Amino acid sequence: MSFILRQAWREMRNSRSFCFFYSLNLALGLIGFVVVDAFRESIESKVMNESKELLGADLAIRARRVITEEEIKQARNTLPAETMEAKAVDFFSMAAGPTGRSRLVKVVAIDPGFPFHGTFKLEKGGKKSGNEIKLLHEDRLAWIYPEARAQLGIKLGEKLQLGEAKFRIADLIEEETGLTFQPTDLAPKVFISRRYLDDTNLLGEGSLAYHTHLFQLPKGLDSDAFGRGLEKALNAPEVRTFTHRQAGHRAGRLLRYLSDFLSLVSLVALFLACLGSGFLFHGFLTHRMPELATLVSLGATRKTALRIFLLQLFLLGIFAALPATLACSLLLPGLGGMISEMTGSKIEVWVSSRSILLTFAVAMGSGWLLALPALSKVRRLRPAELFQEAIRPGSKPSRMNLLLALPGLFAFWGLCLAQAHSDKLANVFFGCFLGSLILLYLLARFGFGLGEKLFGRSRLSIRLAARSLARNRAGALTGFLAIGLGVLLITLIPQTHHGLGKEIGLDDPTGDLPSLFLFDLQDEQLKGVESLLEKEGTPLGNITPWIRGKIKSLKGIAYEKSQRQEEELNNPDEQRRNAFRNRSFNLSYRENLLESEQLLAGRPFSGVFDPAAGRPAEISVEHKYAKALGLSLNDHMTIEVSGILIDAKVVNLRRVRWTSFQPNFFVQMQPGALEQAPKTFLGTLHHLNKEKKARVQDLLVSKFPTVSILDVERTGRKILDVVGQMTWALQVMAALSILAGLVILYCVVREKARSQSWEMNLQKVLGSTTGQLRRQVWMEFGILGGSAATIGVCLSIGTSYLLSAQVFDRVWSFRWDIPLVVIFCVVGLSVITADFAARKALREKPARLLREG
Amino acid sequence: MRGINLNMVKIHKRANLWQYVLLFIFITGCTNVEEIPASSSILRTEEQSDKKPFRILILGDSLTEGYGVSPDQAYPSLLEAKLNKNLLPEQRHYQVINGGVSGSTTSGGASRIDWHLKSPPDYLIVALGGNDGLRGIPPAESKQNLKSIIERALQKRVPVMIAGMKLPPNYGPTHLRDFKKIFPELSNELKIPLLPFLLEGVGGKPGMNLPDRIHPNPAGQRLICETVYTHLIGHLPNN
Amino acid sequence: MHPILKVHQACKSFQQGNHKVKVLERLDLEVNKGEKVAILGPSGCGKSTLLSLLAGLDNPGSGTVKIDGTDLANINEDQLSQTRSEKLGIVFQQYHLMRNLTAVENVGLPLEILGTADFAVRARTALKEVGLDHRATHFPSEMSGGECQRVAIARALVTRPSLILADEPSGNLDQKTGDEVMDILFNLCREHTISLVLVTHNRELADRCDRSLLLNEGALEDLAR
Repeated sequence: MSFILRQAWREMRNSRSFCFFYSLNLALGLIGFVVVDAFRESIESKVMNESKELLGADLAIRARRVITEEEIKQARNTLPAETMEAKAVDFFSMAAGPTGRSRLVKVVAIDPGFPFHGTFKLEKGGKKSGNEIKLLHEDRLAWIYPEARAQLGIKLGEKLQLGEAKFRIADLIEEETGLTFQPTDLAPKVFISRRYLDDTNLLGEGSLAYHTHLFQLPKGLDSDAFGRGLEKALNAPEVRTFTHRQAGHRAGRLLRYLSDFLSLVSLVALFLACLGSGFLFHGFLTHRMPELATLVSLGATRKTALRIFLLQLFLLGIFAALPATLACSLLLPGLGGMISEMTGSKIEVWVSSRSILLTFAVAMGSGWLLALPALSKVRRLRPAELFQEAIRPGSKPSRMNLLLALPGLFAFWGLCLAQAHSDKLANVFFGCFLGSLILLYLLARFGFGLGEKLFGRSRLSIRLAARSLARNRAGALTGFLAIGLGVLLITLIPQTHHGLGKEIGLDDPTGDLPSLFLFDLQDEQLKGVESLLEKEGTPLGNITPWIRGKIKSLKGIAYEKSQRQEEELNNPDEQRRNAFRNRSFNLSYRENLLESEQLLAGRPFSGVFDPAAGRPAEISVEHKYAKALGLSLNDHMTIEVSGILIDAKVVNLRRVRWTSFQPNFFVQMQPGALEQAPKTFLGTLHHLNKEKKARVQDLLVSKFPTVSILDVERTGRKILDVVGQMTWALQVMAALSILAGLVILYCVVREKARSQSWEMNLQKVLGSTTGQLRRQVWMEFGILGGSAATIGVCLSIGTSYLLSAQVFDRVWSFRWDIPLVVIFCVVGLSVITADFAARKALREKPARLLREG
Repeated sequence: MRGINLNMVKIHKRANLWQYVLLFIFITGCTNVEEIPASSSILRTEEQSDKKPFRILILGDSLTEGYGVSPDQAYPSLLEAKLNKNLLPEQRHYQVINGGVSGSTTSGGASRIDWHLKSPPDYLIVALGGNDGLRGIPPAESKQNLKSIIERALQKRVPVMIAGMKLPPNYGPTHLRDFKKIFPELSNELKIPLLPFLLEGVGGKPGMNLPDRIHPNPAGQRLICETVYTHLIGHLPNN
Repeated sequence: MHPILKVHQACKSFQQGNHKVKVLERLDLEVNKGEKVAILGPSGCGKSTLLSLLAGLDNPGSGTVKIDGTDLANINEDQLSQTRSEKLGIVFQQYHLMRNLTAVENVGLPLEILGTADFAVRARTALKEVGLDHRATHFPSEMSGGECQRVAIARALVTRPSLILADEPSGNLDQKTGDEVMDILFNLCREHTISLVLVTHNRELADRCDRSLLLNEGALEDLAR
């Protein structure tokens, strides 16, 4: 053993520059991975905290009835003993102020300790976490939303009547967290202690109230796993289990996207790192093979030779991973701070132990896994070949290599599954990657031979370049694969980012958030409301007619028949949804697209509907709704509006940026067909400050009590905050992955150029001028980089499309600029790096060719 | 609250959304229907049969629409079948029009009634108001809307029956009391028959409702059908 | 008529640790057209260094190296390459053939670099001259050492240079093959009146040259016959 260690060390010491070069390149690649992974973890934990704050706990069970002791026991049995608990009850009620004026409020009765995550921000009391809330639980006190003051005509210190009890208003709530299951609230909230809830006598038989049990797990436990256990244990369909991650959470879909996207990013980073280190180790292997042969010829057993070799790989991995993780650990927190400052988004970046572990695993493991195919070479190594000087021992490929590559592939697959939150994502990604690998391989195999024939009569530099690519097939192939896959990975992130961005409206994340949403306005009220608001100086915007329709038939088939039978659906949730689908949907009419909409397929409306023409009415359907219904372009749909049947034809599918907060509906019909149908209107009010908002609400309530008002600002702002943070995260990650990818590609090209320095020198000795050689290198690497990048970009577009179809709800849109920039960058990078390496090789005295050995 | 969250709908997973936002249910209204040509190739009234049926319109909300159950499990369908089975089918064919739309308040119903009265039904049951109460709309406003609906039907000589609603206790005793009394008051003032409580034996009973505790399940719908049938048959005009 | 190769007072030294090792000191050498010169010397005496200077692959510390009248110190890198490809042919002990090129392609490479149009034909002819016509499409890995060296000789001669620098061409070959290879080299040089500088430690080979020189302590001494 000591011989192995000594020999391995000696060999490395004697080829110091070579080892340094490899370690440096590998370290660069690993740094890319560590940085991306660190950012991913930070963003994820930030988002996780945020989502925990939305729920106020790690886990919760919630029902619209009292959760029985039996059920709570069942729940407790699945959770660790140290789990903390709190209960909360929320319901609508009519509250009355001292003047007797009564309004709808949402009463939330909480236990001490609530919320486990997040804080209340009170006007007088400041920020208070769940543990700091004391006073509220010691008396009949209430905290209310500021707007409730005007609506109820109540002041701080005065008493609010809730049922049969009176509560003194102790503070006003500026911000609160927890129990956020709904995106908006119809009424201002009133928080009281659950201790005094019974005094109100509001919750008798038949009451409609949500009962929530919140659980806080001991630190470090996976709430998802316990959530699943909890769900299984409770078999009452009306008791729902929520983990902070999943569920009723207002930005649920966005966060799911973000989580999947970040998984994707980390997969990309991981693969880039593996790709880089794989390519480098491949070079190392080729380089080391003759030395191994020499060793065997000197009497070492193959096993010993192999061990020395594996030990070297191991040491090289450590040499690369050590500085990479060290540098990142030292520099990343500062970098994170800088980025936070620049972008105004608070984030703490650190390198986690998991990241470090993974880095070492990749650095050392990838070498070994890639070495496996080479092991067969060692086995078949014929040291006798050394005596025929021209032959490089062990350079013959074999079919066995493919088989031996399998463990490596499986290991990558395993890594994929471990690194991604969703197996589907991991599988689609791995599948695409493998497919791309095979495609690139085939293209390169046949492409280079073809290129040689094609350029056989071209200018010298092109001719030589094409020949070098075709003849030096093994080297060119690995380079081509590495660049192609690298580009695939690099462009995958921005391409996916683009699609997601389009969907959630990253272009304009702050939007024009309305202060109030008004709905249920009747035809004859509309004028009055409009003029009232006009007089107040806050005109009603986005006035949108709102019609309820029922689907009667789809594509000529009666809708009921196209639905699954009830018996087939064993899950009550599913039954309910299916039954619902039999019924109504919202629709509206207008002529043009809003700025928050985008036509995805089809054409705009042809104008106003003409009932005499005998043609169906034209409708535009939101693309995901269309998918849910199985509708495509030009399909017919019969809609019933209050007993009248309307034959409609889908003329376009559109995307709606819902976060724009412009009122919108799944189905829009061309004008002219629905004007007479029963409808109400909705509209929005913008830019109201607190006082103005309270005043307008008050005025509307007194003059038009049947009009419903929704305050979307509070919750909308939070959604936009999440969207804003996502924007930031997506952009940072996209930029980082491009950067990391380019660094790795740089390493690949540098290694490839280095491996060719011998040939370049020989050519120089044979009389090639530096100019000629450089042109040849430009050509060769230009062709290699350009073709690999172009194919890589195409594969990336395909992969991102597949991913979007499988993972991101078909959120996909083509972006042409990034692919072009990437191709341009990669060609430039290849040429410049190769040129740099070539010049370095040429500066080295070719005289070494004259020296013996 | 399907309508309320028209935007946020997209942000949610559907299952979660429906779980929580179904409290309020709408019927939308409109006044002028004369312009729509009934013979238009694309716009036509739904049922056209040779023998003129006795048409009963139930103007309601999600309870009537049958939210969460299939259309033939909703009480209007059950009622139609029961009427045709029990009341001399050879003399008269009953047709019950389901005028229930989820989310409807009395306010929307007030204007929507004209659309339905364009071809007046033979009988009208008004089963609205629940959403008003749940949303905290002052009972006086709801009463005014209901009154306007009934008066317009009576003007067209359509006999009307009003179905009473009650609110869950968490809305507070005062609101509950004010709300509950609208229906008998209207019945008295307008001299129309009253169905005291549409959800008799159903409201607040877990076994009769879907897990959301608001919407009746198929068993609940059957019970509502019985309630309506029992109160209705005495008031149906003879041939 | 000026000599094909003229080295005047060439010096070369290397830094090794704290020592300065003088390899060549005030070395003079003249080779005339068609002349064959053998350079003998023990291992490590600086033969490779001398060859590097002659091939223009390295600069002398002082002194001049002139090939066909051109001072290699006075021309730039590209002109040097040009000179090398036109005037010089090099034969290595290790052959140094391009692994991925066939025999005929290896031979044609210098012509291609020079931009000669009929390189394929001339490469073929050159290969015929070394008797390897039948191996034209074989790769170096498929040929024996002797064959590889013959390909290397054909490559060195294909441009019809004025001077061939040969570094122990038979050093890696058995006696018989080595002799065959050397016969070919000598014959072709005579045939085309090409000067030859042969670095070797084989006295027999040296004796076949017009003149033999001994590289000793950085300078060349004439060896008496």
